[in-house]
Amino acid sequence: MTERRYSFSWDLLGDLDEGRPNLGKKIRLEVYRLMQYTFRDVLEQELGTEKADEIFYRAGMIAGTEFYRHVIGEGLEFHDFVKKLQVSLREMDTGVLRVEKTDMENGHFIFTVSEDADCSGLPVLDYAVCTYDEGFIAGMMEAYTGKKFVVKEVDCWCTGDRTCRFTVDIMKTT
Amino acid sequence: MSEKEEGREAAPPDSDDRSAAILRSIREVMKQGSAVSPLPELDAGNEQAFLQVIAELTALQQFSRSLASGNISEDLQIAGYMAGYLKTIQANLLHLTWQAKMIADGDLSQRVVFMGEFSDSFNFMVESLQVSRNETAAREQDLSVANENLSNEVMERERAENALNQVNRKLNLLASITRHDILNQLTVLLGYLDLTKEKLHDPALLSFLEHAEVAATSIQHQIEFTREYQSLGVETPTWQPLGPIIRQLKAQFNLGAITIVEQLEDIELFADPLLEKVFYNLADNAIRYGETLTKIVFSATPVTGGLLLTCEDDGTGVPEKDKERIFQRGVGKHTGLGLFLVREILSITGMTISETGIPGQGARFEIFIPDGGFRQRTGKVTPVTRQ
Repeated sequence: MTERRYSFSWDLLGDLDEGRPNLGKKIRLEVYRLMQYTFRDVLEQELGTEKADEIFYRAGMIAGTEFYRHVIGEGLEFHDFVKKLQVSLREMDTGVLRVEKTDMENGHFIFTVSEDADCSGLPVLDYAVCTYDEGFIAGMMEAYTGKKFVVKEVDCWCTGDRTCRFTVDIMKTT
Repeated sequence: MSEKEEGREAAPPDSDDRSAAILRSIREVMKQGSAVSPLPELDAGNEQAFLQVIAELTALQQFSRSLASGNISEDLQIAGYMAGYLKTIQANLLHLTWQAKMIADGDLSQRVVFMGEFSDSFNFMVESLQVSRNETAAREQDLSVANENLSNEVMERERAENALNQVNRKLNLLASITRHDILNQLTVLLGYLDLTKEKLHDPALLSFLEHAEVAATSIQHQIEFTREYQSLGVETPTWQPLGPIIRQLKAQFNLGAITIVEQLEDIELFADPLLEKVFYNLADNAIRYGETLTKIVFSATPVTGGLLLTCEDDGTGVPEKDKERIFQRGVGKHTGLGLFLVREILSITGMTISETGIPGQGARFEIFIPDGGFRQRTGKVTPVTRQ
């Protein structure tokens, strides 16, 4: 394959101190959502709903993997890993991560995210929208454990719930 | 019947009546848990929607009840504003349950965020637990160090004690050998003095020999005394019943017309193993110096702070000027060591002795035993502090 233009690397986040000495690192949530949902719109028009969701999921996985490597760090016990992830997401105003269930033996977890950046406050749409977050969690867990996971959002603000709930299951090999 | 009349009979319920019935049913479900009044008459489509609302309200109530009773794993299939916030409560409770398990496993860095007063209380509790744990760990460390120091000290003391015992043994052995040798030589000396007395007739020389004999005998008594004094305080004090000690006195002396009376059968004293020497010497003194002695009485009386044990006789008594002197070494007509030894033996366990009799009427020796140094064997045992 020929070299790609947009292959992701963490340094694409740039030097924010140098780049934004006055405006700083934060940006309004509306601007973030404006970009995301316009992307979804165009992707769906061009490729269809299912493909658009798949693209968002895969993008989320890249983000989760890179976030683990550059923000969380390796070698943590599970409760320390969770704690660091909670603190990081909270400090970056991404959401409030909580743990409902952990079954290390069977590779089954349930996480919740309150005040999720993608969906909190959105109107009820009768479908879950946090596809990118699903991928983010899947990428994060794979980077931490070395095993592949399937993540599904079962409750979302857009389905009428007030907290996003994700089931995280180790991918069964056939 | 006219068409008009037929039309009136077939007319559906008034819409206001239907609205009222719908609201009544909903209110009943919300307040009482189920609709008790007749359900409103609705067309098929609206009836389906109405029953759906009733079903969702019922599901919300059941879910709320489950949460209230601590069952936080129930599933709520419906979505919406109220369902969403109830499920948020459930999610928070599940997360708190997980955090509680983490804390129980020792992770005291867990904190609760964005739950108002509950966050404050919970986090304060965990921080207090952390402080407590740190303090306990610090105390454990201090105790461990103190324990180690104590163990080292005990070892040092044991070493010192062993060394002391060793020295003591050597000194005792030396004293025994030296005493034995001196006594042997004294025996030889007294023997020759005796033989010399038989050969001499000059009164002056005989007087010199008698003085020499007295001096040699005195030396002999002093040496004998060292054997007894050497044993003083060497052995650990023990509990000793007085009854058998007194009974032994009656066997050790040729009492003749003298009687020994005692009411000490059930009393035990915590004293040096040489305690029997105390009573032997007291009886010996009474018999030796009592002159008009007919009776020696041993009795005991509780006093403030302890017990007063008395040895009283009807002999000639002790002159006022000698009441304290008699306990000094070398004072007395015999060896001058008996009462000195008595006081020394008693002092090992904190007992004191004094002579309080009336001169001319008999001697009265009072031994004060502090609380904790005596006990009674019959009936209830008086509280003691020693083991």
